[in-house]
Amino acid sequence: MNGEKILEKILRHGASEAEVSKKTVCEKTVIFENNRLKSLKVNNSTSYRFRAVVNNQLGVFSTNSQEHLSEAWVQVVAIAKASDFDPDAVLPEPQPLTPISGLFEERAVTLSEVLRVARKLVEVFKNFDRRLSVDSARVEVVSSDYSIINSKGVKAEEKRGFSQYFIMGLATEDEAVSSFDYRMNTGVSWEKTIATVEENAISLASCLIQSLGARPAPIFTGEVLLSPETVSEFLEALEFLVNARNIQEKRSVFAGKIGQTIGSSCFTLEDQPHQPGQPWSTAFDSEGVPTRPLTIIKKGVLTTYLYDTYAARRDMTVSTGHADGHFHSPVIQPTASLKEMRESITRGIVVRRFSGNINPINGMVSGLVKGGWYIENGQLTYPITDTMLSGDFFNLLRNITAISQETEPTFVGPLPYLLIKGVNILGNKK
Amino acid sequence: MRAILLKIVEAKATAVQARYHRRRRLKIKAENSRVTLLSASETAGVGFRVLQKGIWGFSSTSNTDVDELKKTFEEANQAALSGNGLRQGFPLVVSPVKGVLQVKETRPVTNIPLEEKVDLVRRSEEQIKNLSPKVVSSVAFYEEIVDEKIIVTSGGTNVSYRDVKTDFRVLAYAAEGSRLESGQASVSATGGWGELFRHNPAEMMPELAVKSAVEKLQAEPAPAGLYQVVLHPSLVGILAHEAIGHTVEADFVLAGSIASQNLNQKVASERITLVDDPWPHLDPAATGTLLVDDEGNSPMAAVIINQGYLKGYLHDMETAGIFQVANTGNARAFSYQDEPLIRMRNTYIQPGNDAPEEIIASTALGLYLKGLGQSGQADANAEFMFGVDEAWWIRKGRIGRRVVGVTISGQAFQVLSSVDRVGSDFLLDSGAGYCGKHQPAKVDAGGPHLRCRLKIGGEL
Repeated sequence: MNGEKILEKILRHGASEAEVSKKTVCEKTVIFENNRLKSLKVNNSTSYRFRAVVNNQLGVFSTNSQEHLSEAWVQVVAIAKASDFDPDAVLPEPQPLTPISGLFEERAVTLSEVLRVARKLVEVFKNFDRRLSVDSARVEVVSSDYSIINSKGVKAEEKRGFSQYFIMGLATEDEAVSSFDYRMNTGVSWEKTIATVEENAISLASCLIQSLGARPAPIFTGEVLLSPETVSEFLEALEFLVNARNIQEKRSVFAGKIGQTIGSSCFTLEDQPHQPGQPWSTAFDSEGVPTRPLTIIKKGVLTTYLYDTYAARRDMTVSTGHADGHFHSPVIQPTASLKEMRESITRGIVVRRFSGNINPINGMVSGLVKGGWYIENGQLTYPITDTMLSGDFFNLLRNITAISQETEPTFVGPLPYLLIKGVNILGNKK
Repeated sequence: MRAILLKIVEAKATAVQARYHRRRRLKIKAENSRVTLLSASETAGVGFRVLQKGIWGFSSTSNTDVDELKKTFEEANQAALSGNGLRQGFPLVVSPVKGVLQVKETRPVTNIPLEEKVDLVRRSEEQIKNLSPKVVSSVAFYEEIVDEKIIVTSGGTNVSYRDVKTDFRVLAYAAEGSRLESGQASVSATGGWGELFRHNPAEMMPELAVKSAVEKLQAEPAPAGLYQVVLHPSLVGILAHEAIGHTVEADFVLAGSIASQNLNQKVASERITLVDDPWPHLDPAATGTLLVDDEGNSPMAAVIINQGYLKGYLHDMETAGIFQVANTGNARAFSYQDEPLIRMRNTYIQPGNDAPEEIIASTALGLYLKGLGQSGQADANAEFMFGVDEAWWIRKGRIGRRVVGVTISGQAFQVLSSVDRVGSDFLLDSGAGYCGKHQPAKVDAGGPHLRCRLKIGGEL
């Protein structure tokens, strides 16, 4: 059954507006666990989502089954009728889309190729040192087709694909056990993505071995060099703060702060969803609204919030194409090289991973440093463990002093290192 | 469906598992006087898992035609065969289950009209706003998951299983000047609304959330340092689940977690007995209740720490074979598209002999800590960090002023070794939400009040 026919049925069943989206996904995955090949996996799935507006009441129904398609329009209208009247519950109007190139690779990667790369990833890592152990490793290839139509004329389709590998390991020596650490890479191109397998496996192995014998850092207030992985957690807190729905619901202290300074003058944050060949790029959001490059914070000044159609209508503005509330492909403008940043630190720490809380509501940041190093006069001095850091998120944003030119892959895209001053570091207080 | 699956699992392989899984899910959210989310879904599909010479192959489909099922099985089989020679076989420990299983449901969710569920969410959200002029924002959220499974395996399992998980959560945001704080209350259960609201009626929860948010506005930041603390059962559960439980999952043990070195050694105070239980008799409606695992095996209670000694791990049929022990039946998969992994169920510390109020009365200086804040994580070395939702000073045996921004950290076995008082009370109280390990899982955790020493992260 095609989408238009379902749209018609939803409208005939009493809806004033209707939307149908369909996603087909094919995944091939190889999983290593506990140093051994665990399983090989093939998943194919198709799912449908329906939204109906009945007298400004919005309902959502989704299914993966052909069997339930025959009653989907009944379900979604019944759900909408049980919802509240909301003048802002409308579906988006159609807008021109800019297709993004390079989101899909025609070449079909076989499960055997995925297995070959997974074996290489694990073998290079394991062969580096006998003290290393693989907790889990995973290599996957995913392709998807997403299409969306609505009764107002929105019609969008995107074919996407990406390859990803991930390895998480630890090192043990006598009774000492290191923290977990991991490396990963994601890309549209299979060949380009897997080209870094060896380098990343060795980098992880080397980091884990060096982190053995870690000890607590001292107690002091100093500089912190945050890894790209940690920066992604800071961005998650920022995402909450600039989400228009949280502004409207008075859950974000950034309400009313457009045009005001909320961060350091060296901090510029953009969302760049139109970069060709990037797996995070997309031409439209999950409502079919076009995405666009957006500067969210410019030299420390807040310039916009993230809007979906609903929030935009409440603020009498237009959607920024952020129906899911997340940045698509965040980019932080660089200010210095990583080497310069590290050498500039008089006394501080490197944070590879942060196991903690960044509370975007009251701004409190507190947690454990993982895979960290103590730095004095620009030199990595010793690996640290049992060390916490704390601070106020809003102050930390103002205290960013440098952003690296170098980026590393993270689960939200390539991100740089950030250097922040004035952070409380709590090591050996017993 | 059952007949087709039974036929397929007869195929030539070391082991074959077929799992049909139909899921109905409902989510309702109200914010500031509006229902902003009303979403239902219905999904169904079959996952096939085939073991050939030590390698698992897995494939799933949402198309339940006979030919498609056969094709999907063959994909799983071929995937397993493509790893031929890369690993040696291992013995499997199975405890097959037959029949029809169903969790207890008092006021089953499928008998409650949608309008009544929407009304619960709407009323609760409304109640939050009216409780204090300092409340600037309010949210109420309800979720139910109704699962129906047919699990058929070459090991002899042939079972139908109906499971229902429910969640209800309220959030209050309070402001004063430029300061913003939040408070929350949540419940979750296996079963119907009778089970969901077995400890707290829905009407009580907005009050708890508002009180927490408003009182936090006056609270000072926590001072950093090592403190004697009294943990509420909600945090005892987090400690049991996050800091100990994950390190004793046998897949983590095989990867080299700290627990791999400590079997039969003293790792905690002799007052500590820690269990992962699929059906706790003290609270059978706990969220992690499980009647059959997703490999089709009968789950059993696993005593992890017995009177301070590490006594066992959590197993699936593979790791039980590798360790040559009983299968605890901890293999769980979130959806038909997921392979079963070793996951916890209801993880708790057993009650002791001390009255909770007496534990506080005997504490000269310390902190009383309750509820998980934003998140909690633990590492392979059992080093953990949790955000704490609510915290108060204890001075001269009395609970005093609130503090905010508390995170606790330490090495879990060291912290459990420092336990000097264990309460006689018991509560499984991990609230709404999921545990994440490659895929979500509904779990519960708790225990009694207990007193120990641990590190507080906060202001220097």
